[in-house]
Amino acid sequence: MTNGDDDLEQDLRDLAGNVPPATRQEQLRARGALLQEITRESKGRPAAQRFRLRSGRGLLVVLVALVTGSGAVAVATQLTSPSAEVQSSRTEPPVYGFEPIPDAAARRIARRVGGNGRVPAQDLRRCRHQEQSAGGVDEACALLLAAYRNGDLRRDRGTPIREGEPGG
Amino acid sequence: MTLKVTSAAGGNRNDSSGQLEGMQERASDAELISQSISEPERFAEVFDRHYPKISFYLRRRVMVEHADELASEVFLVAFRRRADFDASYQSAAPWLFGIALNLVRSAQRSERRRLRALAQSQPSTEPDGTDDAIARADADRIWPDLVRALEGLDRDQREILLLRAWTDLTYVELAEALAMPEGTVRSRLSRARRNVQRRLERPYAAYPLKVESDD
Repeated sequence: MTNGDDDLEQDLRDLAGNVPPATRQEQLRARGALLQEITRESKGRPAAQRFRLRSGRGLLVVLVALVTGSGAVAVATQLTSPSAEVQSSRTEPPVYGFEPIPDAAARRIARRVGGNGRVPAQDLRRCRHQEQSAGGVDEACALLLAAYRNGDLRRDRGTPIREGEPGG
Repeated sequence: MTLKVTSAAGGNRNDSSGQLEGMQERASDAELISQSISEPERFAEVFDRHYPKISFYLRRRVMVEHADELASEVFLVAFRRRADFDASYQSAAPWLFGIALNLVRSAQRSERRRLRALAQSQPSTEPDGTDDAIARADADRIWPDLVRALEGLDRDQREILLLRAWTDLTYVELAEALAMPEGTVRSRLSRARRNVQRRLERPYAAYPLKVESDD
């Protein structure tokens, strides 16, 4: 490569030197499109998967529960509140914002959530008990409670249970 | 699972020297893509690693409104075709740039508009007034001629020249991205440089020297 070639490449770099990089918002939009594609593919899988996405303002938890019964009903719930963060019981560190839940946990969620997005009150009670016990809460319960508290899932009979209520 | 360390520049190296002791090991792109066949969500890490560079390159090649769409499309296409990724390449960067190039080819009008916009743009300003003056003089000196020369190149030559100048891909990686032998990359690049210089209104060396400051 000659000096002239060096100059040429430097001039080309200078030419594009003031092009701004994509903003964080644009990056998140592109990432969201990829997530949708991943979710679409995951829907064909036998068990639910959960993905976690950290954004600039909080935590996005995408819960996709595949409910099987008379027909396959997919329930996808997006939780955007920081309060929806769910601590994993797995020992592996999260992988770049994504962490699939074990299939067993996914199946437990799928069993608890009806096709109408409602959760049996007794399951909520059991999860609350689990949460308050010394043993901690399992992953399926943690997800269920987070979704419920965020208002994305409802108790089987009516409105979300407020804190302090029986079963709440 | 075998873990290898991938350099920040997207190149490949194995940690055999022990110099990287203490650095966090992470899966190579090839391993991530392989895992993503059964665990699709693993592909998101490929996005996180490469989106900034792919996006930045596309923003230089085509108008910004198209670049953002194309950058998103690159990863959707890559995800759908991930089973085709050649795992003998540790870094996914050349593969992703290859996809980006194919998408740019479908946006030729946007590419021409982008080049003209670049020629008319002001150089990025520096806080120092002298530096600013130098940058402006350089821009006035050659940018308009350079863009005209680039527009006169055939697509393949323009593509390889800009890929070389606007990314940090090595010759080997350029060959991967363009799906051609390394020798062809080198000869085509050389022809592209010669052609640009021939198309300039005067010999490259005859353009005024850069403005030098007095101090």
